[in-house]
Amino acid sequence: MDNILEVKDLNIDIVDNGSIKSLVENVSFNVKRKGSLGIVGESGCGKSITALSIMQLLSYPLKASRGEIIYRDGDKQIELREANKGVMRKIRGKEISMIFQEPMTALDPLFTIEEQIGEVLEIHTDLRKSEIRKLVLEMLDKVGIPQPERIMKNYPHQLSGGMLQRVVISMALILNPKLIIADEPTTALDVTIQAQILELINDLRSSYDTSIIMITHDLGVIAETCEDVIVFYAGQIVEQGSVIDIFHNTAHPYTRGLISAVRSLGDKDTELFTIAGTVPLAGEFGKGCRFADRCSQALPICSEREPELVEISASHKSKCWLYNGGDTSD
Amino acid sequence: MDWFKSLIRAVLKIIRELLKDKVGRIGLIGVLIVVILALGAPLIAMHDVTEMFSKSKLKPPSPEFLFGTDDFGRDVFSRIVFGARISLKVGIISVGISASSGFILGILAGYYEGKTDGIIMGIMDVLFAFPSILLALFIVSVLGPNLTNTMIAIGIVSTPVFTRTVRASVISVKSMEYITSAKSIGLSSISIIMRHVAPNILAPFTVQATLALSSAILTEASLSFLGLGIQPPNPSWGSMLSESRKYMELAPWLAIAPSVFIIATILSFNLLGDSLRDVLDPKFKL
Repeated sequence: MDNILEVKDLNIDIVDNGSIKSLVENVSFNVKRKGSLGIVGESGCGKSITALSIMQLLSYPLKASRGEIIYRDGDKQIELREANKGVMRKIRGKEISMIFQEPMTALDPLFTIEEQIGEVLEIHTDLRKSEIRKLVLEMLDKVGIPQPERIMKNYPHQLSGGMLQRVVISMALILNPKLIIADEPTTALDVTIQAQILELINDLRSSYDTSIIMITHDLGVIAETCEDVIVFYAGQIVEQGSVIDIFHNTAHPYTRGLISAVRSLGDKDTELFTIAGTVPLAGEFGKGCRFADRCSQALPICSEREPELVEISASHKSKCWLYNGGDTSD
Repeated sequence: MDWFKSLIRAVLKIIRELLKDKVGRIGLIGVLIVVILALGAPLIAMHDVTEMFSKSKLKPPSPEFLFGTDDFGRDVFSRIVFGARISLKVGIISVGISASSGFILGILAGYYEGKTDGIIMGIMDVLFAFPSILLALFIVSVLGPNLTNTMIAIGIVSTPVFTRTVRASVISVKSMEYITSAKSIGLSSISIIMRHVAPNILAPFTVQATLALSSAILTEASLSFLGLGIQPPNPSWGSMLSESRKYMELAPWLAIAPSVFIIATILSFNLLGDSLRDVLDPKFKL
């Protein structure tokens, strides 16, 4: 078993006016070495905080209350949730790094591009200024920034969103980390730029042999970049499997809803498909399946008892009564 | 020395921007006049501040005594000029005290939140609950009235405003993605505060410092007026005003000169602060 990251029974809570509410419940997944895992779900379903918890970046009132997050590198095995600050600081940016959603705010407005990318090298290496400069230049060139000598002297406000996202990507990749967590890296960008950025991430990933966790609400992004997928709903995994399982043997009404909601250029006259209702708020879950109220195929049992996340094939799991007996017929 | 050069360049740029703005121009000139008076006091003043001309008591303004003389026969103009020195000194040192302690407390409260925040802001709220002049009076009467204690008292009184401003800015900066990003590349909390938080809150902090300077000068004048600030025979605008009351009808110039200088100085600093806010933070421009 060659996993770079193993998350087992992760629970994340929020302290709200003294009461504790659960935001993410019993989430388990693995990221294969050189693999790519997509986490998909609606806004507010716990995707981003799961990502932040891997980096131990949750701060009060959020807390990873239970579970294990194991990072494996060769023979080394580190429990990130129990790692102390010093260990964690060495991992961040060097072993695991992040790409953020909003390139416009992910860079400090007061520093030049060179200073910001260079900062990563300053923290983790003993390189001299001239060497840092050379590496930054190389990296900017690799992420496809034209005239890197000029651009690296610029401040973030002088660059466009697409360019800034390239800068953020070069910051994440400059130390060749083993794992990249990309938290909606294309959401804030134009559609044309989105495709370029995804292609860039894919190219770099294969040339650097890096694993990636791609967090998104866009199934199109998942289809383009990921091998494994987990579908989040209201803080739980509702479906988990390979990208083929998810798209071709969809085994959860919510996933099916997400797929139907994707619009392609062809369908002009059809109405937009939506899943009625909204994600229930943390602390307001019923005793049954959390999707039951919005589900078009809900059975009587759905609002009575919560289904388990069961295996329906070797690589495919679903948390739905419809598939609980292993019956995948539609 | 790269950072020094860029600092100078930034300051020059800000001054240029200030001069473009009419309000900023007036404020800057006013402040500059006070600074020149204070720095060049020995050259500008025509007489010694304590020298008594017994033959010319309560004389109206004349070429020899520009602003007239007081009941001891001392030259009011010279006292005003040296008073500027005291006002500015009190202003700068007390703002220095409150700004540095407010900066540190505000960053601690805003960055760490939770208990630290609760304790710091609790104390600040208690300080806030007193009218500032009353609190300053209390502190001075406990410590004893003199220049140093006046500066300490004013420093303590204006600390809460700084703490609050800094804390609010830190909280808004902290929610920016570049702070999470800085954490995600492995920076320690202290480095994040020094490199990414502190520089990003300098704009509101500088504005607050300018405005606090004017209120510190005003508080000193009020304390001296009440007899608990700068002690005679040192010239302070507040105490000069206080002493002038007795001769208000006989020698109105005694009241007019310090009043005009207090008002003009406070106004200049406030105008400068307002304009500085526009220059440093275009978002607030209305």
